[in-house]
Amino acid sequence: MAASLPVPTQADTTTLGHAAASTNSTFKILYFGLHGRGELTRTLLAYSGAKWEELPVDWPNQKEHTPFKCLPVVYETTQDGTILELAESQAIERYLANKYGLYGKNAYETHKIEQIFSSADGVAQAFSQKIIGAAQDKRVEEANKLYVEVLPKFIGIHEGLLAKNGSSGHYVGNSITLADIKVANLIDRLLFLRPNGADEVPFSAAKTPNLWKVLEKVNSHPSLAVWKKSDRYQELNAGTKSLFKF
Amino acid sequence: MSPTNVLPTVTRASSEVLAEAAKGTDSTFQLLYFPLHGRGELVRNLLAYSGAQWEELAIDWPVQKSKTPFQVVPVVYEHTASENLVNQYYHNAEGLIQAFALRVVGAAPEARIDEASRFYIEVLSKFVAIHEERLKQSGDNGHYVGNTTTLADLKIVQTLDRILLLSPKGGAPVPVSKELTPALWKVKETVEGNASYAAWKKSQRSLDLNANTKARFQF
Repeated sequence: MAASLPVPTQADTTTLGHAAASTNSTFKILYFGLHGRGELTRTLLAYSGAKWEELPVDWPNQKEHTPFKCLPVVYETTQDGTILELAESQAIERYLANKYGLYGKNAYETHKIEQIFSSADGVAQAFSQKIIGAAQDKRVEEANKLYVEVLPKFIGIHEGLLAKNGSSGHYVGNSITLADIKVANLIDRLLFLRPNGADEVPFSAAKTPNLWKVLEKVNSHPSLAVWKKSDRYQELNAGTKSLFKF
Repeated sequence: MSPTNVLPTVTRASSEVLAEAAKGTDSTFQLLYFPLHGRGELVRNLLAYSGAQWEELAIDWPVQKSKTPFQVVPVVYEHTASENLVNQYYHNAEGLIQAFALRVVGAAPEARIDEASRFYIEVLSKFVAIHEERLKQSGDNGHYVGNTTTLADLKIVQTLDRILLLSPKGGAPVPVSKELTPALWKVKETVEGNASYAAWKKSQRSLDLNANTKARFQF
């Protein structure tokens, strides 16, 4: 039997907007069994403390029912029973960050968070295209190039920005924001997907102390530490390596 | 006239102050981007759509690159009304202190009492009147912009302190006081209510600097 999807509530955006203000929602995520473009969404759901679950994927049958014919899609059931359909990974991430206090206290902080997000995403895209997307026999070469040509500039700028914020392990203010989580996610992914035989990824407590502090603060956050130790997370690790053939 | 490839100096303040400024709907903008659509296209479209006053900065990438936060463009400099205000007050105070330096400090010691009197009547009274009015209009809350200390407050207080310190012996009293200029005095007291600032002002080093300054200019 086809794995059926929740049916989003049909209503005008004012009504749905009121529902979206719910602080008591539960979530269902539809995404494949790897980290990929679902990783940050799962991380944010884990961070939130909200009740969430994975929907079984049956892509050939479900594809037509998703708004952009791609995943992730998240179904939020708000406290009044409205079902909201969230789609496009970065739009979902920002929505969840905003809902759970990770998106800045004011417009200026939000902009600063977005600067970091955009900067980190540039590196994530480059990694995705150049390393994950490379033929397997080119991966080591492409990875080494990225480590030497792209990462040092990123590291230099970000170590500087973090020092300007007091080397506290946070990009904006003195608490976790989407910026911290996005950058921690990037570092985790780069470290995890180092092709066999490639050089050392240039992130470490010694080489990149401020960035390392961001990573440690995010990963030691109680709900995230639990998530990262979970069986499902280990499955996603394995799924990621296997699907990308690392 | 400043060189055309110099980038605006970004205001440094807490995010609360900057967020207040960011709320403004009458900002003007300066855009730094290459002369093609590229990643600047949507930003230019949004600026054009907004109806706000905006202009392009002259690009000189090899020189400017290291001054941008991520070493890429586009970068947009938003000049908010209240940031303009902080700058306005800053430059206004700078004008006052330069006039004081020229007319009073620069005068021969024997001419100082007269020059100071003239300065107080012709320049300082006007400054004070304008500032008392503006401070009352913005709520007489001990701050020039918003409700936290900005560079404007610190600059004005420092300017007044300098004029108060360098008043010639035997000359007319400086027309700045709690009674004569209550709103300005409130700004001064608010700044002096900051613990580390007050400690600095009471320190031996600060008092030595006062004495040295007087001595240096023969007051």
